[in-house]
Amino acid sequence: MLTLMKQEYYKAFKQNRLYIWLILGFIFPIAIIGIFKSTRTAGSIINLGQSLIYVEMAGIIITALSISQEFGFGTIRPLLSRRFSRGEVFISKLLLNISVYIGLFLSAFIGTVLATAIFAPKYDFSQKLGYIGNSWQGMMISIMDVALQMIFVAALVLMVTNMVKSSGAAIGLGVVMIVATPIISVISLKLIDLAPILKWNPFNIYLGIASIGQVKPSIMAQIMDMSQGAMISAYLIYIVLMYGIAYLIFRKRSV
Amino acid sequence: MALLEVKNVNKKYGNRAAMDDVSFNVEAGHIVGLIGPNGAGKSTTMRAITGLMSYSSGQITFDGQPVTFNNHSALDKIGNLIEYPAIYPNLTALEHLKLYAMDTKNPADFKELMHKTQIDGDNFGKRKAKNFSLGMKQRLGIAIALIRNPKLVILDEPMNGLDPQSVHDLRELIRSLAEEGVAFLISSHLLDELQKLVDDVVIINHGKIIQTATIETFFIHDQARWTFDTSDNELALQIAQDKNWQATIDNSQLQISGAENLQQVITALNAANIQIQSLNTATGNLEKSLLDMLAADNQGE
Repeated sequence: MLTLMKQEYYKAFKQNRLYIWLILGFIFPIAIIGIFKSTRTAGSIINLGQSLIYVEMAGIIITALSISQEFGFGTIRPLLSRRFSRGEVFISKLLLNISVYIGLFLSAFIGTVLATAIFAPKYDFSQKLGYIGNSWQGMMISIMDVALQMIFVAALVLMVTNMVKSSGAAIGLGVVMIVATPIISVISLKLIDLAPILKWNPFNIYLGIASIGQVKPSIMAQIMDMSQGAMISAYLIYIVLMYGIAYLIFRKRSV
Repeated sequence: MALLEVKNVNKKYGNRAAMDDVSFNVEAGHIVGLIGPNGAGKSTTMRAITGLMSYSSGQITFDGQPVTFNNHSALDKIGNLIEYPAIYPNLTALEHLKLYAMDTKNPADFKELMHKTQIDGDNFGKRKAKNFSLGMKQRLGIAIALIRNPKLVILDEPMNGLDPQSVHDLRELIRSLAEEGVAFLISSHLLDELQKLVDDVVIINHGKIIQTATIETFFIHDQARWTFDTSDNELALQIAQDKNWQATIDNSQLQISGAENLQQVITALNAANIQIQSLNTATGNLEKSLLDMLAADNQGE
């Protein structure tokens, strides 16, 4: 497993793409906070200068490419014709992706702090911002919230990538999940209209998770008709299911 | 015990048998040619041996250990190049070797391997693989197959994209490794090249093995074929046919086969006072033999 991880990191660090993603993650909040004065506010800063959407997109693309590229290059064969099990290969890919997500969040975080220090030097990170705490805590909640969404969307992307062996469709779906919240919301509401039990549908749960940090937990429980704990539990079950399906497809696939 | 044993392996895609009771062995130090037309099951067989594909019944063992879709423990000592080289466009040749060498404690010496597979020239250096020609990629693919000092190397169309000098050098490399005990299972459509290289042949058609033989026994019938120019070809033809040899006249040349040896033919012609003006001995031809065999197999269905 360690060998597989070493190989995954070796391949990743040899790709210019990784550095471009990370540099853009760093530059994005600096550019936004530097150019748009209206973003020098707590609301924008705790969202890492609006760079979280970039981080999420980049994470989705990286996830989709992590497996589809191996098929595209024809490198999947030597990868799978070694002593390692397919489970180990799959996990090594997931761990690499998680490492890249962490790198993206870190670069965006550092970029935001630097941009704030340069363009809004009087901004006080320790100032209390309502129920979420101070700006540092707000940033952590935003990062955790987006990380949770990323894990969900990444599972979906990985599942689709494994089904169709193409990153295009998977990336498309991932982008829709991120930017087309109103569409997902409509689908979800229609489902709930059909039967209240469908409040447990994955879109509804995903939307609920995406709202953590924006809505008070008590109000969230009213809107969702379930406690935050139940919502997170359902979310985790969906994530496990989707990663499980993605792995099963990967495991069965002849190459 | 053979290094690689493939026993009664079956694999179906729907109703079509991709591997139909496939059995053959590969001995250590032997170079085995896996030959057959397109879609015969060569790549499928290679993929089954490398654990890339499941099979419904039968057994594959390497060095005494089973190889299945889920059991890859024996694959450490098998190198492969199946269909096309597994190359990451952003890595150089040396970086590829370093990457694939991480799998093993005792990889081949990078410099020596690069030299042997001719990926150490100015063309390679710091260039990324995305800028390599087809031949360069192929040579790198072969180097990757050899990096772990394998006991068995599986090469699917290894001569693809190589120039004549590179084909010659690859043949020499394979022979030298075979002398050191490395076994090879090679498929290629370049039958003339394969003929110069292999010790054994395994002929596959429609997923079924139709012959396994050493290269010498494979040509045993073809070797007794001679082309004559005589003082009386018509009479010589008659004599040969009377003796139940296969004989034809083609472009004023008399071709005889089926006799036990050349001396037998010369004695018969001399006895009829026929003078032999020229004589050529035809060598075994893998392509012709294969085509004859496949035609017979297809007719038998």
